[in-house]
Amino acid sequence: MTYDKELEFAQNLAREAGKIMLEWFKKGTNKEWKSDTTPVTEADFAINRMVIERIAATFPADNVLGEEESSDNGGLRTWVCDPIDGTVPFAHGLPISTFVIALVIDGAPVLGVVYDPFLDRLFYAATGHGAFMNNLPIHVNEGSLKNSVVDATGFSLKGNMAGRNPNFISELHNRGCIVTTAWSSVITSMLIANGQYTAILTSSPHPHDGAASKIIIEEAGGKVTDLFGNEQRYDQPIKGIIASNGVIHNEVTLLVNSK
Amino acid sequence: MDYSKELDFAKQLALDIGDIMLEWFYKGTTAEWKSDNTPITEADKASSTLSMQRIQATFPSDAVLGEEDQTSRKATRTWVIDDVDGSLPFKNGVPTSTVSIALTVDGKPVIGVVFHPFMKNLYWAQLSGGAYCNDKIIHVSDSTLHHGLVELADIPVHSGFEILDIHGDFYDEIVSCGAKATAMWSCILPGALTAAGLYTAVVFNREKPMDGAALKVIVEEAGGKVTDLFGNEQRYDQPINGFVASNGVVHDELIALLSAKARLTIQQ
Repeated sequence: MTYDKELEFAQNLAREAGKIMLEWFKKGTNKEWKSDTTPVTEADFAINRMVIERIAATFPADNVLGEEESSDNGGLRTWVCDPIDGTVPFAHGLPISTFVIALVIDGAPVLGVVYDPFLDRLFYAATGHGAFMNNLPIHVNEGSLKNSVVDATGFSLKGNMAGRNPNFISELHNRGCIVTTAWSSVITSMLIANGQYTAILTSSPHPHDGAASKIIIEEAGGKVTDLFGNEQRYDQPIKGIIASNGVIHNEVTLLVNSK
Repeated sequence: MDYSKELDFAKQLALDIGDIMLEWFYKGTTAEWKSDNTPITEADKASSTLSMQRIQATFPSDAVLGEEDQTSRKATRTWVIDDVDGSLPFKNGVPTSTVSIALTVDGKPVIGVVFHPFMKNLYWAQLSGGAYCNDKIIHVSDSTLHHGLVELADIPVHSGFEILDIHGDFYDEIVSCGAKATAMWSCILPGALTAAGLYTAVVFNREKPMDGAALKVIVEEAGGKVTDLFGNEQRYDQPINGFVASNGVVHDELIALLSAKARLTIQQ
């Protein structure tokens, strides 16, 4: 089974979404926008609407699971989309947000496309065909925890780490790891696929935060599971994400889940 | 005192260093670069050589204090420069690095220039002259911590410290005030974005004056406040006691939170 048509469709959609992102990002940073709504909300909804319309026109039997709006036709295939991953950095002027889309069949992502419009980086993969950035094959690094860079966003020691190891971030530090908190987990996931970052962790329940990364990182040689180290479906709420180069996956999973 | 000649000089230098940064960033991103030296090392070396040469040619009696390179002489006027701020994001493909250039006179920053080459944003200010981004006047936000975004730079969540041993729950404390916190490992861009009214504050827990010198004048000319981690003024031509750069509104609250959450490790 190949998904050439779907891949090309998703890539074109991603570039168009990127144009909308850039336009609103600049309005936001230049403070040209005076209204009750924010630029990031405007861009989010505009892109989400475009995705639903385009999929309805091109693949009318497919479902769409978007961050802002969805459409369910009872089909077997679901497009899982985050119009803008990284709304916090987007709203505050950091150019690290992305457009994210994945095609999920029976819970498993079969193709993923992520576009970074700020640096014109298009990341994509389809099952069995490897992962690419702007048509060049990409691969995870072979780094161990020491001197590696890991992003952990959205963890609060008192709050949502209840039941897990609340000190896992300090333990990552103790093992020589550098931890960033970027509030944009998909771009850092793509940088794992590109061999730069080594792992990311998020407690997000949203499938669109993991669906595209799942296929792109694994096609690049890495590994993506839930926060407990298990496989999961990506067309329903998820149990967080650990994405890594594969080498450090078990070690990170154990750290997070040790009492 | 008019520093328009120095300001024009610093802007041009920042733009030229920005070109060097972009060139090496893309080489790193596409893994085109195979050598013992990493792209960040090359970018650092090329930029600091350029700034040193230019300053010595144009203002030969001034001192230079850079991350890589510095003149041995002391002078009233010192250029304090971070050629590539944020080596960690630079190396790892995150476009948040900047170049930061300040001229200090008797330790006080009188002009500051920050260039973010990825978005082509040039932030600059001259003492008593207002703060600008690409020739458009900028101003800090009036956000409280409740809706704010704070960059916690070099506050490893739980280990290692340079100025203050800040307890691990400082992050949680910020979050329980309703704010969000980033840790980008590049504090100058969030600082410039504080001046532009987008970020709320930056807390920086290291001794390097290069990270704070330009922000001191840019953020304050934009209506905000910049002090050391204890809320005091300080010189920027020698090691600093960290800094808090904020929109002003949240400043005292952040300083109070820090002193409540920190064990003092140095004499104030």
